[in-house]
Amino acid sequence: MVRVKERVVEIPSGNNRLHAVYHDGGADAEWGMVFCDPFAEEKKCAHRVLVETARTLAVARLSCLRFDYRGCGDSAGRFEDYGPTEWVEDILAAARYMRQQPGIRTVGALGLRLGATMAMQASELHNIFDFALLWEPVVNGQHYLKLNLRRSLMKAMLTDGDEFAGDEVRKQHDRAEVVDFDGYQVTQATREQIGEIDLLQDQTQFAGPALILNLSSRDQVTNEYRELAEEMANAEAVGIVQEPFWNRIGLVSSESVVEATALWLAELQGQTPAGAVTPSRDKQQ
Amino acid sequence: MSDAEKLRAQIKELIVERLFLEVEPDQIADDENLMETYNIDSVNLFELVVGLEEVFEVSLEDADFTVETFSTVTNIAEYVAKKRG
Repeated sequence: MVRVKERVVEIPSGNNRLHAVYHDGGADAEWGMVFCDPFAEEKKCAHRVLVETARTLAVARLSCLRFDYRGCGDSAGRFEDYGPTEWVEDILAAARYMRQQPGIRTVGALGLRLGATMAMQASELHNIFDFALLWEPVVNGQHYLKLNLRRSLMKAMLTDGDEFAGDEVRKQHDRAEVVDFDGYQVTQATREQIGEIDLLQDQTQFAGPALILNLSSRDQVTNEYRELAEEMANAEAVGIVQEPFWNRIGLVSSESVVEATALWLAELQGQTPAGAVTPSRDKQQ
Repeated sequence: MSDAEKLRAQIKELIVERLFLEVEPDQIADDENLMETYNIDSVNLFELVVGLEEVFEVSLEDADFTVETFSTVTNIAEYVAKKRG
């Protein structure tokens, strides 16, 4: 088994520092990838798959940077004090860090769920990514919140039995200052910011090559991902049969998504000389 | 096969597919308790509800959610048929 060098790094972002792990693709690695984690419990469930993906890509000479958003994981701060606005800044800080690494000339984002969405938001603010891999991105924030409410309802329904009071759960999600998302205290401000997300309405201007992976029990692409790909200048949407590991606590095989990702990247690297994806890009952004 | 039987067969396929169960769809009995037999938890139930909406193009109301509605294939089929009108 090939082992890659991994090191813990700290990246300044706003008033704090981000805990990060750099998976070194080797001395001749010219491509770097910034991993943009999903939100709350989805991040915890996806952790193993994201680590495995970073290691697989690093063996293929693609340096990877995984980091925790402010208030999350091992980064400083309280979860309740931060939200998508700060996490988008964190993505930008991580992307700048990656661009400063010796030899790295091309930097992409690999985002899962809300992380994929925030990677697109970050690239709207600063044209910092050359390419993007979007795994099951959250396209509509209102819908995402509705699904989180449903998750809470399902949990309450199964655990409370006859005492299940769905109206109470709904009211809490609608009005409470802080809502419990599977143990994460999500503030109203964060919910409002998430609720404003509408990638189709916002018409993302991302112009680099992008792959949207629709991960589900069928190798089909939903209409929203098809529309999203059509809106972007150089994107394709592909359906992959993959158990939703970001919702699972147990061990889930991620072979199909990792393989699809590695193949797409190998093809992209073959087609595109390093640093030439978007030649006008300013490395100091 | 009647419409009701077809619907139940489709639901069984959806359950196996969405929950990544390692059983054949026709091995699931119409009135078998899904929660107990297949250890369906809240995450599985969530996947199932999302799948029902996508496959049958119905909008399920959060207010309708009860354990009983999703406890058997028969109950799910009745609920979906009602939603389809």
